Amino acid sequence: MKPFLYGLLLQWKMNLRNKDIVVFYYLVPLLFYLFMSTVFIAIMPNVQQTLIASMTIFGITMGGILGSPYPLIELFSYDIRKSYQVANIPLYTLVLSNFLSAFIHLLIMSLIIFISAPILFQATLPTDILHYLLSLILILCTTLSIGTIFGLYVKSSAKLAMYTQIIFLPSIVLSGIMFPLDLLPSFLQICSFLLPATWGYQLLAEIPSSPFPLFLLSGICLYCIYKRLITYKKTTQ
Amino acid sequence: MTYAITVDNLYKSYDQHPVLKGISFTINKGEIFALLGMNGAGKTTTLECIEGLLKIDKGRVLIHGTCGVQLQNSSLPKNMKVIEALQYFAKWANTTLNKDLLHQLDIHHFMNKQYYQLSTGQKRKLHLAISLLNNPDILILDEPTSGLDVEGRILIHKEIKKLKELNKTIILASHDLQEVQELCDRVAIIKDGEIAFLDTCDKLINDQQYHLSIQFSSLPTIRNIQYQMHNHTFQFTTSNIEDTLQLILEQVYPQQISIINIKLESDIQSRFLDYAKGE
Repeated sequence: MKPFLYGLLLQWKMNLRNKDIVVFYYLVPLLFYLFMSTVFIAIMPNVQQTLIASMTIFGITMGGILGSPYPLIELFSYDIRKSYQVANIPLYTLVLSNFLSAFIHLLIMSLIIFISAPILFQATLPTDILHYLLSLILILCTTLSIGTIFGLYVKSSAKLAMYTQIIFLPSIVLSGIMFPLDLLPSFLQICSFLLPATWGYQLLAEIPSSPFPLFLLSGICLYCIYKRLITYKKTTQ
Repeated sequence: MTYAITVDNLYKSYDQHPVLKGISFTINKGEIFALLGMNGAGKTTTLECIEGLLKIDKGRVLIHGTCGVQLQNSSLPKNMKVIEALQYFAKWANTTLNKDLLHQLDIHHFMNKQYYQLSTGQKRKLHLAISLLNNPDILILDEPTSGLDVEGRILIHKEIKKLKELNKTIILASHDLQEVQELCDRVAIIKDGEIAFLDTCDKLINDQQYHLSIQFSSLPTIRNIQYQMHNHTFQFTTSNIEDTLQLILEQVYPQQISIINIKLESDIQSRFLDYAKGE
């Protein structure tokens, strides 16, 4: 357990040293939150009720989908992966360290929004804090599972930037965080429910919905991660 | 004799392309064993089969003892500090950091640098230190001095010699024949996935053929010695240079012909090429 915890702490520190990762985990989500909240407050009435949920979902989607795969692509590059394998370090610990490290960073980012939004923008706090926190954990896990799949299956950073946009852009436009879902054409409304950000936003904004799709998606992602790690397994002697 | 590593009839293919074709050798405990070969001959594949990184198609590898590995192309995350890397790998090896080792390898100067800030030599030293963390009985080094300056090479050579004194078994893949000559007890040369030579370093050097080129003042008649002629230069290949020279001079001087130029090529490199390329 000790080596794993040290690895987790190390991954957390390495993420903070990596400027690109800091941009994805903190800088852009928080700047977007400050800028867009100012705009929303000015143009949309009643936005305070969903401000925390929408800005949190944006930050988690950006950090989880765009940011969290990068350290994995580095860790699973041929030369680095082999260095760990010859030292008999299980590869799943690298995946888990990156997952938990990203989880803690994005949780901190989410809590900054949660604490500051009522003060800065008179945002309304959720009525059920426990429900909010559990939903936050669920959406974090689901989004980071998808990010992990990108990190394990995509070979290069250049391709990653392209593939992750397939999830990221629709998540921002269609999930309801920028404008209400019922303003979308019916076809796009159906499409929006394929995105974890939509379900996550509804849970955080206390719009009646089920957490089941997020559990299902997390399960599918875990299976894909397991299958991928099997292919890297070191041969036994 | 106790063996540290036994490689028995090893086969490995990549996409139907056979890379190793029944390689067998044993490495004795406490010896430094060199694996030589041209690029693509199968050295790294052999080592990766021994390390367990590659699945063997056929054959077996037996390792008696703990193993430390320095790969040919190792790397670490760019933002990992040297001290963190050493502590991380030490924790996984269930050991503590040996400060003497860090001083011996001259690592203590750059402990707080991040991996991307290290020079090639510093990276090599770090990976060697990582491979030595668990005090292994067997050390597998894949081109440990490639990319190092003279000072770095001397330091690594010194460390390898020190490890031999501690009765460690070392398997070394290298392109540097001088290094092999200086450090190794036995040598295996791999050619096209098969062992072309397997014996001591001395045998590799002493068995060698000399290539003697002589340019005469005019063309002599030479009998009882095989030679080739290129641009009025006679080329002889022999394993006994003294006898051959004496035979040539005995025939040439009576013909009142003098030697204008004489060139003798003999080194481990040409011997290596004989085996590795089948020349």
